[in-house]
Amino acid sequence: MNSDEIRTSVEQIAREVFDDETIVVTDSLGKDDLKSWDSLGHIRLITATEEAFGISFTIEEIEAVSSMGQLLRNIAEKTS
Amino acid sequence: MSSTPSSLIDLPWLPRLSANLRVRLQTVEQEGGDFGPSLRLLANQFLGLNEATSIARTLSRVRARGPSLSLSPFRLALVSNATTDFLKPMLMASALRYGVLLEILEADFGQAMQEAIDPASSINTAKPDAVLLAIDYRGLPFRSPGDAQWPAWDAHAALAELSAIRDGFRTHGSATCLVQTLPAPVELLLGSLDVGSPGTLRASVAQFNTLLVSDVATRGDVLVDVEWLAQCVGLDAWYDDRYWHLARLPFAQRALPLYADFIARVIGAMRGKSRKCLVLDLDNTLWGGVIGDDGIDGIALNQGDARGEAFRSIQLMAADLRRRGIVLAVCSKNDEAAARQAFRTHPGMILKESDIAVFMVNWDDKATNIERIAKELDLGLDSMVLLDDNPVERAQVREALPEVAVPEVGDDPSLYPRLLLAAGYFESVGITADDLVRAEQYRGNADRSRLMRTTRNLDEFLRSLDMRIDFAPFTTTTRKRVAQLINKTNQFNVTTRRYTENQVAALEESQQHRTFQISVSDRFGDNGIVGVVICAIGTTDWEIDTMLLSCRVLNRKVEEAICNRIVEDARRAGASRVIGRFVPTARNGIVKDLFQRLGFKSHSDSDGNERWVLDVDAFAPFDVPFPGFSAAATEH
Repeated sequence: MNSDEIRTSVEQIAREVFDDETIVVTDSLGKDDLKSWDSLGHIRLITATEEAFGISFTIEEIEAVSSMGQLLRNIAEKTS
Repeated sequence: MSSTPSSLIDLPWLPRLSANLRVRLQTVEQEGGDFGPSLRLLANQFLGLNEATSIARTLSRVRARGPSLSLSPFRLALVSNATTDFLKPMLMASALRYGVLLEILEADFGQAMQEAIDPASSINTAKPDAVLLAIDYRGLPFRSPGDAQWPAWDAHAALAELSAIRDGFRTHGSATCLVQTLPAPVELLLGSLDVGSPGTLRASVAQFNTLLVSDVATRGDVLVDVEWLAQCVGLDAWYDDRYWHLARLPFAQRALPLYADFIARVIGAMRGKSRKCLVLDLDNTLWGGVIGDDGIDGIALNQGDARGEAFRSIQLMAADLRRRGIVLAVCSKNDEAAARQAFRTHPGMILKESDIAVFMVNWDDKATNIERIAKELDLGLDSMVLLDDNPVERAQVREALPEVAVPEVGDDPSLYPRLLLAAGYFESVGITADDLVRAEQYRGNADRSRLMRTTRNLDEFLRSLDMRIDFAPFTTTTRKRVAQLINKTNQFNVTTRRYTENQVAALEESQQHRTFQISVSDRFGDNGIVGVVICAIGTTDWEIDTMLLSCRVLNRKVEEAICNRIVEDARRAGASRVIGRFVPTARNGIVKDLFQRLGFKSHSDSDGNERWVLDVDAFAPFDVPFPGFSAAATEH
């Protein structure tokens, strides 16, 4: 899966999780930019990502992610 | 994503989400009228957390506009040692699948004991129908703080805490608690020795479960066997400690839909929503092969043959379901003579012709035939489950009759029993003596309707039944059956008021109420308790709070006999009027004119509510076909 495909999938996941069809996933899109990306929203985003890509993040990775760019890099690492 | 999953954690019996949910939810919000059927239809698919959240959001908007006539309301308080934010929408969406409109009240995080023992707590003052105690082993004092001794774990302390919580909600909130068995923890300290060493966590959790099960059986409340659920999923998949540490999620997020469905079906059962009839296809469902093509010697149904044994396991399951009160019917596109011959002569058959209440074998489409079966049995379509190997037939029935449950079972017959039973269609919160003979009674009904056809008029027919009717006040021994009738009777039910077992228990003692449980027997058999009446008694007025009858005894003048009895008792107590109310629902049209038929006069209250009033002194008892009935009434 190349980085564009990953980005498209994550965009789809983010739109569903945050119930917002207007979300465009850029590297700089961060927790502060989306009102619904709160602590529970974060858990939903991460668990949905894990399930969709069949991967598993460590506790440290989950806590560290605060932007889409970081999330995309983590996915790329685990799916390559 | 599109293929049917095989692991129980993904609820494989539900069709995967097909239509665009967002668009369909918008339609539901724009439509007027009862939102129940459309939302229930959407919930009859597999829903993840995102979908459940969307449905719950729509639900809270449309319910503000007014009640749903087709869904039973249920107020559930949620008490947990874990995060319940995700559970809440998942439960609301899953409950729709069982015809229940859930309202959820939440306790503050970690406040279980305070909520329970404080009579003025938000949950106790709200008087919910039930409290779900979603507490796992990490939320109970299995280990006393700072205790350094070995072994460290104590089941009794944990059980005492849970008992105190249950007692609190029962005493102060009159609520039934849904209590969970605890899944075992994954980690062993000694290895295989843990299970046999008192005081290890593994042994203590096992002991806790054993004690809890017997305590619930003797002291009431409703058990939810989460231990079993976690074992089905596998403990390694069930527990995800990362999310326990990060967000206090008690188990893996992937198990949430299954857990919520598991809770919802118990609530459905408490509201009498469990299904009652299993409709079976024949070819490649009850036996391998096609009887019309392969002939009686060609179908797979023998021991020693792997496929044959798989089909025998399906039959064995159906026979067991029949034994516990599920009515069996056959619906197959087939030649009836060939099909019956298999039942009569094939040595591998476990099911007999006499096990099948309705045999609908012809070349008409399945949906039409299932409607005929429902009609013949006098059951609602929402009582039916269809087991069929053919995906096209399944889709056709689902499309034409959305109320019928049609599990996705794939094409391997060896998985059918597991998938059908795991789907929880026949969930029960208590087996009564009546359940065990029900399948027999439905056959008795078929015999009675045959007799009806050979007798000229109704009165003559009824007299020929040698019916006997008995009235008795509610008792502890019949409480389960009375509560079951109160919660599952939809059609012949004038007010459709639902009461939990605890509330029924309170009515047994109440000085302000007169209760009747009504049994009817005839020469074909004993129907058991088939009716319930609750009257709120005042000095001049007796008001009928509840009056319901099982559909098994309709058209038999039972309601007239009940009316005679109520008026007679009211007269003896010195009351002058009996008051009735009809509260319309989607299902109780059959009693719309009941009070009028019984001679009540319509009165409109100042608030516009319609009441039906019967003048006790002017009442002339109905002539009823129950020999000895009037004698029994005057002896009282």
